[in-house]
Amino acid sequence: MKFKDYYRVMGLDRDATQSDIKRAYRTLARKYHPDVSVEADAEARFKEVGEAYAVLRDPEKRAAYDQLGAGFKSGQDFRPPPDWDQGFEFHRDFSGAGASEFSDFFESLFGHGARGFAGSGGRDFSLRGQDTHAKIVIDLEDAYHGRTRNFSLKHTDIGADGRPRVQVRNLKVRIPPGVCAGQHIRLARQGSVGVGKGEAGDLYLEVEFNPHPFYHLEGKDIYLDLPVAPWEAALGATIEVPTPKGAVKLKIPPNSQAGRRLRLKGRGLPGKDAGDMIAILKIVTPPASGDAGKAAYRAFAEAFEFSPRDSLRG
Amino acid sequence: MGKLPNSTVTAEILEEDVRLTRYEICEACEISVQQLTEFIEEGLVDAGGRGPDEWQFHVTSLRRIRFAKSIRRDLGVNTAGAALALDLLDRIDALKQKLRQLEP
Repeated sequence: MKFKDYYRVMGLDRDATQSDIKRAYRTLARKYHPDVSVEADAEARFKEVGEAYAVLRDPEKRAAYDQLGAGFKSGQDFRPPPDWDQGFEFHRDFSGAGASEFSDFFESLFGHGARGFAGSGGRDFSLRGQDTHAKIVIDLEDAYHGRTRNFSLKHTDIGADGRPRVQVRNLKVRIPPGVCAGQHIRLARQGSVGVGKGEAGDLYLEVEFNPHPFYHLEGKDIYLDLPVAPWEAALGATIEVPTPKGAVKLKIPPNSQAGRRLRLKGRGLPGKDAGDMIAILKIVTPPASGDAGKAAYRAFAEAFEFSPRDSLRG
Repeated sequence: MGKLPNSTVTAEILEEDVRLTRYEICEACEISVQQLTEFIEEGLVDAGGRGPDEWQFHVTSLRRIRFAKSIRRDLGVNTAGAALALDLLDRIDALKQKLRQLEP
């Protein structure tokens, strides 16, 4: 496996103080926390930072890591030498991150399978586990047509041996048509198992959509940036427009400007209050390539008395 | 804790007008009633006015509570801070939506 340079992950020097480490963690956690981050790889980075912090904040683990990793660079092939942790005693402390979320590198050094690991009876766990089944990500087409999809829900709990374990549950979920982003769907009796003969509770999932290459969803309305040629906008045209239900013919009125919105009623997400599709005109011009293209543009320019920047003058 | 069987389930969409009881909220978000009470006192979620036995929660409370739990645990934010963060995020969402509508 590859060596992980935890100092580099956190942007710290090797002689960083505990207070430097805590400060770095707080800043990075805020930057990459999946619920607030705008970064592309937020979730992966957040886990990486959490793991680095788990090691560097603990003096025992940090000392062992420093000793072990002195000669290694990030990404280098690495295997812990036998007896590397001689003289160290690590206490099991997983607060702040699910044990199942640590990398192989971490597990090989500090995991419950590693040697030199002193357990404390498993009383003090604070495991993050349930969040992975709070959201499901679906495609817009699924919401439109309704679809049955397979989902894996991960759930971390304490096993019979007192150690954390990940349970994976596979569900086939029938998603009804018309669900919109941010809505919740309820799966009856798929939540926590009841005690004794009690019925299981319900499971609630928040729906999130995968970004679509050209549709954009807002509530139940589907927005589409619709490219048209300048002559189509100016003279009007009947063009073919995609909708999740299939292509339709749309009439562009003459003298349309860029940004004009054309509403296709009822072509948004279906349901009690079905949404609309809103096509927003985007004027796209062909490149002025070749003599014929350039000549056509010059003729075009000469045919009009046109001052496009009037609105900018005084 | 037992293991639930793999199965096919039909999801029910929770429409705007659905209201959840405090038990449903506590169970769905895995919080205690005390924690829920604290969230209500800080104005993080709205319980609909009357006494605890008649608390009714809008479906959006699910997301708000999960978010508050998550940032409390991971970012050391207290409940008042979480409530503020939620309000600011709502404002950001509204602005983003406006931006999209204004883009040509």
